[in-house]
Amino acid sequence: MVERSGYPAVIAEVEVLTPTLRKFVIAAQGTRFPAVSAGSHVVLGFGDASRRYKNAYSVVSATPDGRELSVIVRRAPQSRGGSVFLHDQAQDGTPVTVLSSANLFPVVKTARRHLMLSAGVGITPFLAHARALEAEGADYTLHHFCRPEEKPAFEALLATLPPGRIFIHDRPPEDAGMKERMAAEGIATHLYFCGPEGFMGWVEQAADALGFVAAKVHSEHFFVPEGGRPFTAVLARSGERIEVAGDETLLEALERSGVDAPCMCRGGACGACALEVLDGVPEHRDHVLSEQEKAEGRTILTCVSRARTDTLTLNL
Amino acid sequence: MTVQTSARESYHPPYQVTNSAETIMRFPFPFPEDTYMYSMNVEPHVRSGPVAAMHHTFDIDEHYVAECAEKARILEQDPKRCIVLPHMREAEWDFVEFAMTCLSEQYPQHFSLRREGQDWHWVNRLLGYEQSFVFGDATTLPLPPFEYMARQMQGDFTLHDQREDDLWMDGGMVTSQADWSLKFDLGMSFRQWHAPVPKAAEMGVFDRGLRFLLMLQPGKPVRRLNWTMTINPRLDTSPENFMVWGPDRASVTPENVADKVHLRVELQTLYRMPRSNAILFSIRCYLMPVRDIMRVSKWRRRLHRVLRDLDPALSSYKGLDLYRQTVVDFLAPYDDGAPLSSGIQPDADQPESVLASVA
Amino acid sequence: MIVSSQLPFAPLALDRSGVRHLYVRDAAACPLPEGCGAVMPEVWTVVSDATAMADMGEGEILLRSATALLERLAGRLARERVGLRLYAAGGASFLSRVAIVADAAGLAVGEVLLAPPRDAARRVLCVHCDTVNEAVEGDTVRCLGCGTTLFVRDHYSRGLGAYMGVGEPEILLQAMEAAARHG
Repeated sequence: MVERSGYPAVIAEVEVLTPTLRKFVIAAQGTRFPAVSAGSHVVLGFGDASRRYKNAYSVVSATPDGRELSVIVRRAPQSRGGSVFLHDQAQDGTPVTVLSSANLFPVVKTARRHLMLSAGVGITPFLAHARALEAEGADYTLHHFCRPEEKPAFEALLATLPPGRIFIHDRPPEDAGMKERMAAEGIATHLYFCGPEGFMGWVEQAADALGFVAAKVHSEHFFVPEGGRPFTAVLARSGERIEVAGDETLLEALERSGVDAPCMCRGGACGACALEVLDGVPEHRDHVLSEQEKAEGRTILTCVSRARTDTLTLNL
Repeated sequence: MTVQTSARESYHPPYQVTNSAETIMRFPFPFPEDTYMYSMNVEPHVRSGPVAAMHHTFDIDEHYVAECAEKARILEQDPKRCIVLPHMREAEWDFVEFAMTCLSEQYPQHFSLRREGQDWHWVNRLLGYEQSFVFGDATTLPLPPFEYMARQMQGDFTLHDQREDDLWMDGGMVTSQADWSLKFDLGMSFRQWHAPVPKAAEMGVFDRGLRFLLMLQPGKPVRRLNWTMTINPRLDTSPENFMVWGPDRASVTPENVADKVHLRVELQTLYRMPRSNAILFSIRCYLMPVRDIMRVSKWRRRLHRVLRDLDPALSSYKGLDLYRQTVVDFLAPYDDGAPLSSGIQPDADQPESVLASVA
Repeated sequence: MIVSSQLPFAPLALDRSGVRHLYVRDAAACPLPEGCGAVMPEVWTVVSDATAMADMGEGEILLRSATALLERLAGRLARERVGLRLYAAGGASFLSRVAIVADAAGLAVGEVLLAPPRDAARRVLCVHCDTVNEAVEGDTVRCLGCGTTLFVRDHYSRGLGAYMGVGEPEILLQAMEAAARHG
């Protein structure tokens, strides 16, 4: 059971993969971590006296005994500082807390075959999936796209998987003949992809043109909430006013004020944190609300979205 | 809770089930208000609540041994009461781990579990089982993992795979159900298997319920109560055997109503399983005769009001039409109409004696 | 949101998001999907004729029976590549069987399009004895397996390709009738 306070842990190992990617092995202190399914993320709590962070990262591996799990973190200098903290300050022994876990990017267990495409740090969920699919003898192929200078790092990361199932490309998918490969897939294949927005757009278009139906196309928009203009959140029921600083999210500000706000993915992908907006205009940054819902402005996902107005009144 | 260690009771003819005072007081009475309408009524399944039946992850009570024996009897007659599709293999092990861990931690006097890496040793003192096995290796258990463990627990269990933004019933063991069939509903989506329920669909209950369950997180289980009525203390009210138990509905008279008619309550709990990302749905059935409900003054008055004012469509769906009025007429003299506290708690420490017990 | 476990029937229209189209029907009387013209689906038709040869004639493959068509369909789908749209029209029982073949081949929502059935003959599974009763026209049927008079519930299993049939004990029918008379 995940306690409200989470699972205490420390960073046991830091591995530099590329100048912008680091792998962190996190070791449980005391209570074992619960098992996690492939594709899960964990919300990690960490920081120092001046600043606490709660960020979600895909779990790339976990030991069966629940003693260790690993995440890969990309240094995102324009974000709110969590990844910069981990890259610049975290080392062996740095305390972290595993606050919760959830799986928003599972594979379809009934699928006959899985085709997985990733770019950059989008590889993280597929590291777990590929190992799990390999262990159960499932049919899958993973194509990873990266810059030429990063290729050796990803080759090392994927070295334990059979070469026939793993393809690492140092060219864009268009040049690597990816569309032709996709067109040759059998009708039972499910398609999964994760990577930067430009890559995501390319795969979406290619899948659409080839006649992949929505039920067989699965993606995870990895998304680091960015800061923005400060604003004030007004809680309608209590009248409380909460200042949201430029480098924190609305959700973080609510939590800092002791409000028990709902949340899960912390990346604008699941919709669990949706709150009703009574006054003010939200600035939507999520992948969940429809265009119509965004235009209506009655709902906000607190984990990523902000305000266009100086105040935002929430039904809370 | 004292658990009887021999199966003196019988959940099939000739029926023989009695409830102790403690069992009556811990009953999860399903009506927090004087009127009832289908709703989501979901709350976190924390180890506390207005009645003791909610104080454990999986509730074990004095009927444990008899209910497990009844389950074994039904599975012997009809093996299709337990089916698990092949892609739910991980979910089976999730269930074994979760059930064994909860039972051994919460009832150490009855169950114990020793884990050394993947080598596990399980002891069930109530049923006299002892088993060493390798976790994850089905060949080391005498039965498939889910079936092995679900036979050692009261209530029904179903396993749900999550895909296409829906939950698919891809496995389960169902022997104490209120008129639905696992073999028929196997492989159905959340909306498909709820299709027969009247009213709720138009109220949007299922869309909201599904959205909520799709986001259920590991370690944050939820629960709700559902109810119907059953004639005789019969756990197996399946459609498969409707020709056998259906006629009982025509057997209620003003003379036998207190002993024949049972309030049937399902304490439904839902869990996200960590390895498989599947959802475990536990449906723990409690049967309480009107005679025993009479012994809690709040409950007998509220039951009267709920049944008297029940929506006719729900009454028909739950199969109450032939005897609902008989129950209402029987309870009416015991309801003074006084306001009752909201919530399901009994507002008493001990059952009263209202009716003379039958000889 | 309509809550039902029925197959998702809808009038057929060519889905331009597909790159290949296959239309199967259990009778030549079933019309082509709306929008056929510039793009024509491959058409397979059951002709119920033991002399029919399953080769392309008049742009159409003729099959001797529904069973022959479904066997051929299973083989085709096993080799099919992404982008196919499968359309089916005919009787309720035929459509049930097409859905089972398509599901087994791994097709998903959006890849299988089913026309509203042209008859009401349903397959009904007896929940008491597991016998499938074919071509049930009304709301009741005497089960071929156990003799029970089954009432057909509006509850359909896509996996079994059948509606649920449940008996009603005689004493309950009588009691209900009596209650209705006095009520």
